[in-house]
Amino acid sequence: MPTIVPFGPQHPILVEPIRYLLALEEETVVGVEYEIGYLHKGLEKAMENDYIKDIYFAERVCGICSMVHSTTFVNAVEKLAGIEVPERVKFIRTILLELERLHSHMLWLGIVADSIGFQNLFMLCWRDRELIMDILESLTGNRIHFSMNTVGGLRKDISEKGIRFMLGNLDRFALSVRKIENSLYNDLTVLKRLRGVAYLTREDCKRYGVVGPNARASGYSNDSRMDGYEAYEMIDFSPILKAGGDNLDRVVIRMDEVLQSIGLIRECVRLLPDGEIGEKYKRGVEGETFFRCEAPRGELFYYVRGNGSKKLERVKIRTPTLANLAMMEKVMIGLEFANVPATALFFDPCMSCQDR
Amino acid sequence: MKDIRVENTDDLLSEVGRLRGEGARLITITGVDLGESIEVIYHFDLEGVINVRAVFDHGDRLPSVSEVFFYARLYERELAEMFDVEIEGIHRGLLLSEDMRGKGPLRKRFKVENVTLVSKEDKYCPR
Amino acid sequence: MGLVKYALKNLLRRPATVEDPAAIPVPDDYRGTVFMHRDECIWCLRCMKACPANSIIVDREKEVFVYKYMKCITCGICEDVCPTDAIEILPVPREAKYKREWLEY
Repeated sequence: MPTIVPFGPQHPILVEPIRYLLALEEETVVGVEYEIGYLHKGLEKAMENDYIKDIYFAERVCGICSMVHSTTFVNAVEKLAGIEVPERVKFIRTILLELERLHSHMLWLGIVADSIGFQNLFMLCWRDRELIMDILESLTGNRIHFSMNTVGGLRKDISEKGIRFMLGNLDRFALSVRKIENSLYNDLTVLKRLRGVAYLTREDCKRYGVVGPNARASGYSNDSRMDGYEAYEMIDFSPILKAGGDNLDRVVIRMDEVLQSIGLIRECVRLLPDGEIGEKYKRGVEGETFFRCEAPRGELFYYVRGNGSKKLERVKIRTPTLANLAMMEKVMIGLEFANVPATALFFDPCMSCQDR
Repeated sequence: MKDIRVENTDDLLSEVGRLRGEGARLITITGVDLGESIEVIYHFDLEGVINVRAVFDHGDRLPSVSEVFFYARLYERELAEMFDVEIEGIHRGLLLSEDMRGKGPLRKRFKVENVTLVSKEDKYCPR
Repeated sequence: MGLVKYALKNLLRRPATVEDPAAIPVPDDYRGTVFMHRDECIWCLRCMKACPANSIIVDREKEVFVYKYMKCITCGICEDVCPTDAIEILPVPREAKYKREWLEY
């Protein structure tokens, strides 16, 4: 007869509300159920609206990956309207997307370090994340909700001064990341805590529809950036894969992606062309389309349907966290109870995205 | 982008089963209210996106693909709740609270203006 | 020995935190508070229609402009649509106020 232990919705480690019901036998989890919807905002209904306003709604689905939400939505509407944005716009969007990936991964690493009891690393990660936030603030004018995108281009250009500031800060950031990597991989406690925990094979990933870095940590290549949206077709890019599939590899792959993103940003700046930043599109849109982008957490999918006017008929958002939720039933079973909070965090959940 | 339109339930299940055999991944299930009927689109990822679409009446019992794709259950629960439709073997309720059961907020007949909000914040920021 | 060196180095360097949030310099194009120049406004209601959060309410007859500070999401779209540049977004960080009434003007 297993004991039922509730976990969440309010928990010191999981800041965001989600409720797990864990069936325990002694210290081992034998069954898991989840309950979501604590943050449901009804955004899909609210987005049956003017598409210019919808850009700002899309941006506010999530507080961490706001740029990727608005870029995906704007790309979907641009596909409907049949407009091609100038190259400079594509490169600037790519730079911002990669910066967002940097700060999302650093935030995640901080919280994870906190959850396994490594408070010091949490402070270091969040201090260095501040460098990226400063870059974003100087480039776009705000720290989180940039409001840069509009249908047909960007709302404002980035300045030469901002780019110089960005490159300087990125150098400092890259140095700190190397230091953090060093202290993380040489720590015996961390390695013991992470290695071999919450193991997921490539077949499991396929069976449970895992996306993003979690799937790539198990060797399941699944990266929407290979579709070649924005500037990814013009720069040299291939996804990083790891074969381990345990919690340690989930850390390693994200740290590698951070270093890769820094490289991608530098390449984007090198190739950044001069030119226009696009014109605002104002007519109505008709038909239906979809678009997918690689958010920091995985594949983000938007479905947009218009009826000829400026008001949209239906917008469907599928966020990566919702796709990763099904796998919890597999991963949690067989874990020790002490590993449950850390493992729940290791898949980088974002409840705000998940509940929309 | 490939678009496959299926007519009835058996065709849908066999098409989904065939895609599963080819190694496709279900991205999501989208429902669109067309007025009298509901269009259900299954998006698959197989080196590009493949859409399988079917049209059902509102009274119909929709088939479930969760036997083929295990994780489709999440999306189907959301679909059943948001459009107030019946899906075989799926119980409703994923995101919404108790008092929104059976309303189907993404249906066209549902108007946001008719909802009464009782939160404290609403008193200070009236719409 | 290495520990002492490391501790001394960290003791002598600038702290990573800032005490007063208002002391942080903001960039020039920072989007903070919405400000409206009353003499330039032609009461065209475009900002009210464009606002995604319904934070601007304009009455053309009474010439009243109400800006709801709490609802504003500082997207800057009102500045974009304004035909006479009467609306300006100042680079002033939004701060807490003592009374709720002070949040609307």
